[in-house]
Amino acid sequence: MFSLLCFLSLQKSILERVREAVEGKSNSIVMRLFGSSVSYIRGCLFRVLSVGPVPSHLAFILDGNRRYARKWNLGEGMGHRAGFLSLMTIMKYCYQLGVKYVTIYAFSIDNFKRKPDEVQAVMDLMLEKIEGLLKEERIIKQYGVRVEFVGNLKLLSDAVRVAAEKAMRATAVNSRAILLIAVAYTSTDEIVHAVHESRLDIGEAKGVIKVDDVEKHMYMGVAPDPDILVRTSGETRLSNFLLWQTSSSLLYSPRALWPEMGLRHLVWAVLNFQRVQPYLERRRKKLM
Amino acid sequence: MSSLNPCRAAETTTGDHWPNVACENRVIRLRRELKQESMPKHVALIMDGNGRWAKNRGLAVQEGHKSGRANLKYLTYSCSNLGIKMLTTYAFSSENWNRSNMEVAFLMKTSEEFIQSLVEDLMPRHDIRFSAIGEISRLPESLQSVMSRAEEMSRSNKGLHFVMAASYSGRNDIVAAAKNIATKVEGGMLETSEIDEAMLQQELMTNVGQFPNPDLLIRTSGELRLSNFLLWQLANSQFYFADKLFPDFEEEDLLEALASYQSRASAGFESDWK
Repeated sequence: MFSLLCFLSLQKSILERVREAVEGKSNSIVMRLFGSSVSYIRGCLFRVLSVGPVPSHLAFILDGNRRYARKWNLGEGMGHRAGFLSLMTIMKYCYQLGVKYVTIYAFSIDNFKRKPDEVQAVMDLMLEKIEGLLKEERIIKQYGVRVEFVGNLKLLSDAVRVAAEKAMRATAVNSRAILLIAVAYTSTDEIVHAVHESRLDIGEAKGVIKVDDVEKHMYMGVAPDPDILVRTSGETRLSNFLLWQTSSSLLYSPRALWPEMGLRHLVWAVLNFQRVQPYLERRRKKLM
Repeated sequence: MSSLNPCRAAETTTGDHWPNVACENRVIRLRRELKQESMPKHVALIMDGNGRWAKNRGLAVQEGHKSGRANLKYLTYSCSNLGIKMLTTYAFSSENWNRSNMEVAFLMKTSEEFIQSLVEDLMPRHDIRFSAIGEISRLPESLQSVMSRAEEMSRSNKGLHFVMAASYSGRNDIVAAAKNIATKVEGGMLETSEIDEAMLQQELMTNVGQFPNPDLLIRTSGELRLSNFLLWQLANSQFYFADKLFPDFEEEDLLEALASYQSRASAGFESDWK
């Protein structure tokens, strides 16, 4: 049964790629029928998963784009394009499953230390992607997605920051699902910023900083702690991402590269989450 | 191997851990394959699975903890031999105070006994230095005095630095560091704008050691979580999740974890995205 599901999900991910690659051109009737029956089966699978607890917040470290491009001998920027398609697909699956918050690690502050022309290329890519994201109105409108940019936005170039703020404003009305994009973000920087802000809050008064004060001022304060953190390409590091927030999150590192990430990985992560969730819930109640 | 290791020979916890010849060969082979220059300097260890181990054998939880502590001594000995400079273990978390009073009392007693045996047995022979981090004031008096005595005695030792995290919470560590900095700001020694990552790093409890950030984190019993351990310090650490329960986690498994770390280290820790 499980192998059948695996086989089906593998088919689905190939199909999704074919569909995205064609990008809106009219498919043959057979393809369309196949596509809709696959979507139906996927919907059934998600309904089965929803019987157990569904994670409310998933975080992703999108690792492996460049390796993917090298593996399949694609051009220079094609790895990131494949990654972007994969992101759209995974977002869709998450929101269909009922996950409310999805966080992705787009750009770390450490990446600024790279060569200036490489950084500029990434900034251009990010600009293109933000605009591309807004163009994907289908997904955004269908799932009521609100986009939030999380991080030290002051470090970004003006063009990117303006585009980011525009995207945040454009989607601010939505609230059914939230996509948090971590740009110019490292967890240590976030904590230091939160400590700064807590200190400024206290100001002249001789107050004591508490855990709640620090949490209030985190960039990620708009979302609860992630339930699952996924890092693709088999790396088992956090690389300064959500260190504070992933204290009791399930850490999952599939060997697949990010563009290869598919439904089966998501299902596996959610099943593992459902296995540990009752124990974590009991512990949380005891602490409260 | 058993004759070289006084710990195992002296304390047969369950009597069925005598390594057979095949296992010994594997250990020797793994040890030979490890490279000294890429050995992690600081290893962090979450010792999970004592309770489950005891339950699987139909024993009381206390037996599991006892077996776990014995195994920890053995692993400390192994780490010292392998040239690891610092070993931080998650002995007791802030959340563990919620367990039953009996279990908590037993854990405190076993920790005391463990530190005593460390002082008597391993410290003189391996020059091990002991430190304790966490909210030490919450621990019972006897344990606190044992800890401070062990710290005093071994302050100048140059061997493996064994750090025991007792009543420790990663988040509270960060907040305590923030409080220290805030006090300095109030005292006028610092400006708010001067607070940066390096400053916060220095105020963390793990600054007792030479290498505050672990290179490798090992968590046993197959759970894939950090459970509020060393959150800031694990920013760039490699994680290794072992399926075995802690009392079963032997030198062979430790060597496998180190081999996995070394193979990733040689591949380069280049961050690959965007």
